[in-house]
Amino acid sequence: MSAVGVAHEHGHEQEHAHGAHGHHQQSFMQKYVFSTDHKMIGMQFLFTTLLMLMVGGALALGVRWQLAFPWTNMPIFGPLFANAGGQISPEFYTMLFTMHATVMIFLVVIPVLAGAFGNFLIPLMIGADDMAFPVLNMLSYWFMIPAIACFGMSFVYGGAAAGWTSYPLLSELRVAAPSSGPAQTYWLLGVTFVGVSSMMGSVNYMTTIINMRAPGMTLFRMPLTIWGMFITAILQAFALPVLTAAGFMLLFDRFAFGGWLEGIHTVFFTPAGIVVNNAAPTVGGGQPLLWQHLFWFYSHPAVYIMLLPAMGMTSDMLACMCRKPIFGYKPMVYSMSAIAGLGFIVWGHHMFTSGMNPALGMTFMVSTVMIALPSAVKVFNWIGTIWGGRLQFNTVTLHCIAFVSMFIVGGLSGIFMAAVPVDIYIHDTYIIVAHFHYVVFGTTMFGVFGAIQFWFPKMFGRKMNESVGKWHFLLTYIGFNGAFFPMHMLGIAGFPRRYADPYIHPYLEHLLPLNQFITISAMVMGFAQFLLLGNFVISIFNGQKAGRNPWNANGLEWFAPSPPGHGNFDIPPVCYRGPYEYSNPNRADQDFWMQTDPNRGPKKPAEVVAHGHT
Amino acid sequence: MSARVWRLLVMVLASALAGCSEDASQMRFAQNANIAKPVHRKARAVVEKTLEEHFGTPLDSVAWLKLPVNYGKAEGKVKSVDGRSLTVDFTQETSDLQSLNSPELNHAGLLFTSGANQGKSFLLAGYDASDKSFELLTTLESTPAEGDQFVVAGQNLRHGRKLYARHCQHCHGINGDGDGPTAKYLNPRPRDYRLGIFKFTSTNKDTKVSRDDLKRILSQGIPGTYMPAFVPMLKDNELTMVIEYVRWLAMRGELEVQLLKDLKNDYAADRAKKEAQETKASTSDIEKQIAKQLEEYVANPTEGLSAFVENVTGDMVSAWESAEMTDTVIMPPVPRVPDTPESRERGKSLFVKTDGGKCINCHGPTGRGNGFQTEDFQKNDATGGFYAKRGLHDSWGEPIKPRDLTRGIYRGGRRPIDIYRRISQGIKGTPMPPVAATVTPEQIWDLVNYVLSVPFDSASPKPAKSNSVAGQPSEQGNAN
Amino acid sequence: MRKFWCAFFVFSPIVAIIYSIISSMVPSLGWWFPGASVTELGQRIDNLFYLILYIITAVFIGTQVAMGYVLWRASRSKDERSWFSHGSHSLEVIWSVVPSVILLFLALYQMDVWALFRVQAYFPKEAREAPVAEVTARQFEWRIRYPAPGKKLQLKPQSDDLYDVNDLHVPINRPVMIQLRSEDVQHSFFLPHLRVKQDAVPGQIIPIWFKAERQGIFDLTCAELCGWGHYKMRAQLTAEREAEYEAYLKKLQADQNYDGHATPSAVAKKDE
Repeated sequence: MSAVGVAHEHGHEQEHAHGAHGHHQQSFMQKYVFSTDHKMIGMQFLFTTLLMLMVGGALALGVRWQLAFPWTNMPIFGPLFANAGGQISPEFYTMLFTMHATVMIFLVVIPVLAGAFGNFLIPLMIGADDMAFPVLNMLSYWFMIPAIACFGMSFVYGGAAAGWTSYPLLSELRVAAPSSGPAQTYWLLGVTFVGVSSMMGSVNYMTTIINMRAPGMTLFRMPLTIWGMFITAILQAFALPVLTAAGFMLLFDRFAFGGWLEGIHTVFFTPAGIVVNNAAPTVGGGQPLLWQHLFWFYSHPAVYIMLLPAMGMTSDMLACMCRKPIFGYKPMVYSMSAIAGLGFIVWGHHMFTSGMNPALGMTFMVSTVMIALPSAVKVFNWIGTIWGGRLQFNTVTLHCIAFVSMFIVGGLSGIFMAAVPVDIYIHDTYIIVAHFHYVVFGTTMFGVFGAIQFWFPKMFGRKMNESVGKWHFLLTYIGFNGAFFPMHMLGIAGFPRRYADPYIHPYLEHLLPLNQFITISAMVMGFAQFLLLGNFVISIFNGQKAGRNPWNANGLEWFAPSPPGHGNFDIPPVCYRGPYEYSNPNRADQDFWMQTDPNRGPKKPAEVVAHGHT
Repeated sequence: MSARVWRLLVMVLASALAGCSEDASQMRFAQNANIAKPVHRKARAVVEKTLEEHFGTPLDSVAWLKLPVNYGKAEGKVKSVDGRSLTVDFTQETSDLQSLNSPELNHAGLLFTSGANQGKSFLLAGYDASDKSFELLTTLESTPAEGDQFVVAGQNLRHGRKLYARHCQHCHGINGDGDGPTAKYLNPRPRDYRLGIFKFTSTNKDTKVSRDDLKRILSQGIPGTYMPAFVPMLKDNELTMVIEYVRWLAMRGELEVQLLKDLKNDYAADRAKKEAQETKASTSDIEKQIAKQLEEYVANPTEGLSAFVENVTGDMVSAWESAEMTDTVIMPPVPRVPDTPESRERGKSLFVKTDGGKCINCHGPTGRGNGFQTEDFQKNDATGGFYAKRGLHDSWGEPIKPRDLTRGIYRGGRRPIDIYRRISQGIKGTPMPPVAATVTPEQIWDLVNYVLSVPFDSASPKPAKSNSVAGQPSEQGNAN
Repeated sequence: MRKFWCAFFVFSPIVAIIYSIISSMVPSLGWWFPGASVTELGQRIDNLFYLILYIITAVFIGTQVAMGYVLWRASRSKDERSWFSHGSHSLEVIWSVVPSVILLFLALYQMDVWALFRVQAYFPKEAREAPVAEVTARQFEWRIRYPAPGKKLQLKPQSDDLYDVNDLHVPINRPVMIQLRSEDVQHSFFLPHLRVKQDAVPGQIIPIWFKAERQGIFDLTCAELCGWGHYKMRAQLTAEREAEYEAYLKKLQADQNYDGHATPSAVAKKDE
């Protein structure tokens, strides 16, 4: 950990420059647990999300097992039900897919992008010494812990089982679904905590990006990663309050308070006279569809929250690995903004069959179809970036290409869903499942896997193992496509989502073998993640040492030591140019030109050579 | 980083996750506080052994041919005998039998219908379809001659169990105790078959449920409960198989309950403790004595366990068989009295009469299920005391509410004859009494006409169901 | 290794396309629509599906070929340095305008089918005026209420209404409308063979219409998570000739009024 020591000395020397980070000895708790350092918080997020990725994956394999080998003794979960003949019961199955989605969305994808990479990269890439609000930043991580605890408590009470969308009345009436009691309440609280955490993060990111950029770092000199994070933060700040409010509305609907709180029993989503499970008829005059509007008003933009940072990171990685400027930097920025803007007016496409006003269906169709446009522009620009580049096929590149390739599939299949009449048929079938897994797993997670490999040297000063990384990629890619591509066909065959035993329906009986194939592919993909996890953990201690700039990249983060010490930069960075000046003919001596490089002509910057040039 | 470390890591993690377990399918035994707990554990072990012997486990169920269960059968003649192996010719062969593999027929029953072993049944160890030979589990008492006729039974039970495991088990439990993993979320709780009582039957008040009744429940579901309609989910022959398995489970449960009740007197759980206090003998001696007595009880051929089992099954068989007789089915002697306002009025006055059908006591003056009995403490026939909670209870000790007749939901069916049967014979296992003895058939029809008119009676409050309607159907279905 | 990865990324879309072609061309595999649609509107939905499918297949092949080409070129680049380019304005304009025209066309082209399916003013008049049945979804079955023969379906249950469960009978060759409602939570009325899907929302009555053009028994399932027994909501739609339909209602009526004396033969069957 000599780098840290060096950083401390630097910190000492430059007390004026880093007033907020005066030299002080940090205890273990301060440094690793209640840290206000954005890098440590980012890594805390990263470790947590990787752990949760495995939990979510195990839940998914539980779902897959039931679909491939219905009612047989399930490994891991089966022995829990010895009394029931080793079968998992249908309400356990509903819990499995609900919690799989919950864990993956709220505890993996959203926090790994905004929480882990957002935290780690934003100050480094814009040349700041930390976030604008370090304590708020720490809190944003520590609000994840009660969120995880709430979801854990939800498991204790049987797990929420109303789908991650939690449509009332199923999620609202305690008698309507198994686990609709405390489990659902804890689930709602968990989502609220995740929301609070994201909100703190997004306020912080916006402030940091607007106020704390290094000298010379104009908005259009920001790497696309930062643009992605910035737009995501805006999206979150505007969409999240709606979900949080909806969550509280549902909570108040669920509770019948006594005493002086008696008046709080609301009926936002409850129509009158509904009898479920022989309970007393409901009173009220609410509207269940209101929840869907509120929920999707957040959750559709959330899809872009789960996507835009990964798009940005992939753009940066791809440009570096092709040794070529990103193709159409400004169109990329504009299309990200367009996705974010349009993302707010497309939520209704989740509700085409819900019985909302048909005229709304038409408007939402137009807006939804049009959101494909900026996505297409981005794909063309990525292909343009590779065009004429000198590609290095390392793990990072592979993940980036997979990212683009999977995004094409996921994006194109989305057009079916946007078209209302076609959506009538495919709504809530497996083609939807295929589509969003191509987008959220195929696209985002490949981007994240690439990003882990790419920024790992900056995080730990070591590189991850390349050949294990390639095996991980290969198995994940094959497993992923084997699992999710056939799901398109299941969807076209009318195979509905969330069925514990679809094969009791005659038109689905013959799909069992295909589902078994999918399950085996999913297992390959699932177990491949142990390679990633192992590679990650072992490389922290054993990886090949890396200098400041192992990839010969341009960004400000590569100007800092690896790993950067407290306060990030030993020399305060100044930004002289855009982030994508690769292979610039004005620099004949090297094919990259760091943003911090003050040289105009072909001169070798001593700092870079010393640490990273290979 | 050496390749070996990686390989090891992957292997360890994979084996930890994939650790496949044995099939955990085990038959459960009664655990209730009132039936099983008071019985000495050694006596309970005897019960469990007896049940296992005659009924087996779910994966290895025994077609105990003594029971009136249609196990599905194939008939044939013995061709040759070699020790425990019988090579046979089939005279009547179900297609199912051919498709069964050897382990599937394990513990199926083989009953000789002629020859030296006539009337005796043996359990099978398996079947080899290639040379049409059965393997017996036990040795034959006398060697059958060539041409001896037999019946093999069991495939209905096997398929029935598979269907049961897929469709029913998660609520009704692996042994039909109504305590599957899903059961705790349901109101009312799923039926516990082990008392042999089923509520909605066409048979008279003292008779068990018939196969037709079970079939009707399976195909129509029970409205107002979580029992769904299983048609078209199950085909006709599949319904039959499930019904046979359910009947088999019910009989298993009945035998279990009877055995436990019988053994409770002599082998109470606290017997050793009590006797030790009374006689000052050591507990272990008494335990030994209990074990010895039990052994004798099991071994005694005339007054012991086997005789008791014989007795109980004998009664059970005749009870279940009589349910299939047509004369136990309740058919109204007179056609329905025309559904006129006068008839309804007569029915209503009977309904509210406190010395007639006494309907009002539970169902309340307007049929909303809020009669005064629902507020009273009720006597528990099983214990002789009173239930701790106010209101009515059923034979399973669960609280039960009288039907709210204004909702227009009839669990046992909405046909006039269904309601007639409910009123005439009562509902088994519930406080709903039979009134046939005190009320004439015409009067029952009046009651039926009244009951069926309750949901549409403008005088009574609106049914809860129609409150939920928002907007006119032809105008605005999408009120948003 | 470069060649391997290039081939790998070219190969996987090829596998996907071959797999899709096999799925769509070999109906015996059952990896495609569950047969041709029973309704004309469903066929139009299928046609829209195919229209989108052809367009996106062309785009998919185009982008993947482009991707394969640039990968192959970039991996075999003999140049010392990459091509230094920040992009092309005219290319950006082209690949913004062309897709937007196609997408807008796609969106507008769908409108009339949607209107026919969902907007009540476009429902066939005969269907709108006389709904044939009320389908009530509940956990976990479909309860069906028909008006007595010769009567109109009323909003509230009538004493002579006919009831059935999990079996919706409709006459063929004429548009029929049903009133969909839910007794408890949200369900979705899904007829895969007719390409009909509509959520049943508690507190609302939602009309659906379709015109079955083929006799047969078709699956009716639930497509919106409604609890642990979601998958158990299997029912069927029996599309039959007018006469059979009348006979069915008659039989249902006889069965429902059965008092142990009237028309036992008709009842016996139902009783089984």
